[in-house]
Amino acid sequence: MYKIWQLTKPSETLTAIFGLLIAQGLLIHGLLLTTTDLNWWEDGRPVPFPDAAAYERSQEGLPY
Amino acid sequence: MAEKYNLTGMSDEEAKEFHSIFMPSMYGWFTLVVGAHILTHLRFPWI
Repeated sequence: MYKIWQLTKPSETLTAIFGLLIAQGLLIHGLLLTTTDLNWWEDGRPVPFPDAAAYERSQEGLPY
Repeated sequence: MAEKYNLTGMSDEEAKEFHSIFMPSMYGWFTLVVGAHILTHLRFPWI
């Protein structure tokens, strides 16, 4: 199996692998962020601090 | 077939040395990726 490095140059192979993996990662992350179900930036989790604090105050019956 | 061609000029020893670094690195990357997917699925299950 090691003889593959006598057919393809290691430097060019590594450059190609890094380039493809980076492009693939950016593509998949971008696609997920364009969806509604799988967007982890705008799904409201975890609950933002002001909303969580307001909920806790309302549970304790505080008027403010 | 591969025995007949040496397009990169690497010796057997050089090819073996690079291969001995490349393969554990690749499996390490696969392990990292699988672990990241497991953690992500625990937090945000998509199936």
